[in-house]
Amino acid sequence: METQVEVRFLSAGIGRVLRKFFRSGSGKMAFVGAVILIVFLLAALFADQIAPYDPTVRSGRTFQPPSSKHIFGTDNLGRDMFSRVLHGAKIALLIAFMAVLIAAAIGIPLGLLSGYIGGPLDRILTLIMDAVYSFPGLILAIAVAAVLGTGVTNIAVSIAVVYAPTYFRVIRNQVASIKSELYVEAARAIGARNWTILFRYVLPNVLPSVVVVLSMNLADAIMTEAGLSFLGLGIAPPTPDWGYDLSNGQRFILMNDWWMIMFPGLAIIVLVLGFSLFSEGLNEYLNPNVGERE
Amino acid sequence: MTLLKVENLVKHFPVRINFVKALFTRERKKVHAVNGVSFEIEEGQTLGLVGESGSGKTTTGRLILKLEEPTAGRIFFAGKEITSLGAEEMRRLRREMQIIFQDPLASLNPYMRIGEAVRHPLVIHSIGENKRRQREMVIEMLERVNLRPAEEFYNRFPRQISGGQRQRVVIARALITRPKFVVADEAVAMLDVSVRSQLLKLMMDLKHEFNLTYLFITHDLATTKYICDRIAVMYLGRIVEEGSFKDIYTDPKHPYTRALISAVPEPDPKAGEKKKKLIPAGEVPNPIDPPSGCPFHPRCPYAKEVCKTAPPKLKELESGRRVACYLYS
Repeated sequence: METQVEVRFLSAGIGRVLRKFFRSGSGKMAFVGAVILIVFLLAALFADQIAPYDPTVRSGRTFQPPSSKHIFGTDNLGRDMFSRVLHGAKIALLIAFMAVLIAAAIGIPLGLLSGYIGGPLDRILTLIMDAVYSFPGLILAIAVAAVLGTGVTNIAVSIAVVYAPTYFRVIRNQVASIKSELYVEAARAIGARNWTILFRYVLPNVLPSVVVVLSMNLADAIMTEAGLSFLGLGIAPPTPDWGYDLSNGQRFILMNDWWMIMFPGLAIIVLVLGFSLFSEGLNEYLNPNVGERE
Repeated sequence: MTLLKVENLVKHFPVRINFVKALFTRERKKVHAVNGVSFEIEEGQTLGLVGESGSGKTTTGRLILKLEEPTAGRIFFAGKEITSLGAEEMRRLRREMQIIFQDPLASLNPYMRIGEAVRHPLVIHSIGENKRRQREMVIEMLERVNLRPAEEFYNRFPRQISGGQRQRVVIARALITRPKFVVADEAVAMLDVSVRSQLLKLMMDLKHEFNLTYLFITHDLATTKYICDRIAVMYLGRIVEEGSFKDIYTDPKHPYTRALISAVPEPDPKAGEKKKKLIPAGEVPNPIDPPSGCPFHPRCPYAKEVCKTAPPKLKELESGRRVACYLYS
């Protein structure tokens, strides 16, 4: 059975490069990724305790380069960048997890039904999902965010709209192939109802690829969220947010104030890398034939 | 008493053709998988359905269990017609009729523990008062099919046991609801020879113990020797000969059956030398475009003009002995 996950996530491309770098198969990737994720999760959970200053109020002079008092420097309003990056992790992860949950909650059930029932329903759902899928991700998210407005939930929903078709496609295609497996027929032969077959025989067999899509999706959701905030469609200031800090910082780049964009940017890169490593490692573990596709 | 009766069963599968062709041709091609099959099985008997691959024997088995909707024909089970039964009624009837597939690994859900796989039919048909009682029944059944220690096997996954053990699990799953009728579709074909005879013996023991009726589908005449009371030989979707095991084996009538019997390897090499092999020339014709008349006539050494005109009827030569060949009419 083919369970490899072919999706258009940016992080999938990152993962392929990483796999070459790590010479694959060692489980190191998943480990390094997991370590990064744990660090970020802890930073987000204990941001209030770790952060030396309040991220939304002035804590020193403006435009201070990194020093022992402000290890990431201060921004144009004199706010501590280190505290902002820490608190930014909370927002980034919160929105990413919400977006992924919403996307999965839409895409997985629809994919299951569409693949299992087939026929006209399948054709219509596939058509709709393909139409959504054909938009460039960020553009679609901007359109939805512009309609819904700012705020954590709205941003999460607009990101979810972009990624729901990915779940749908992965699940639908897998279900369509699993449907003709002998064990599904055997389940029918022992008298199982369709619902029972769907949940006890089909779903467990598509779950491994769902897990991989989930973790890849988290990486992309973080990038999309940062992109939206960068464009001013994300979280309303003064809430600390990496994307917003990036766009705020780039206005002063000509003054050589590199720290204002370097640290939020690095945070995004490292977190996305963490998710990519983790998902690619997971993919390798759960779907061992993936490496053979090149 | 007749447990299963099949009348003139037909199954045609449409052949997919590309869209442009479909626009311009009116003719829709069909695979004639099963082409008017009739037989009866007495309660407690075993009918062997023999034929080479593509003869429609597997489809016949699937049609009987309504895993496939027949194109035409009627199926009676325990005196009741089940052909037009609704989905829910059929679902409940599945407790009585079960199937054992050829590939035990493929017919077990890889993410379901063996015990749960065997227990699931009990859950579906609400047999056993509670989970504990069901578990006991499963353990008992696993022990009956010689998966010991049963408690240990209960928690294993299909990939963690051997092929022969998997087929035992499949048998346990099929028999846990105490069905009356079991279709064994090439049930031992994928196992190695040593395991094969053990499983055939197990199936025979279980047959007597649970008073089962088997439809034993196989391409291998040698295995029918141990298990079948009667044999029906299929060729290109039709039954060409039917009779008791002994009649078919010692006195095959139809030219195709003769060829099949002659191909069974003889354990004694000297006897094997003496035996003349009658391998029919050519290949099995394409079931999309079956030959006119008798399906076997292009390969038959005794073919006459009449064989090309219409398929011969299955004629009763003596009681319980039917042949579809113009040589006997």
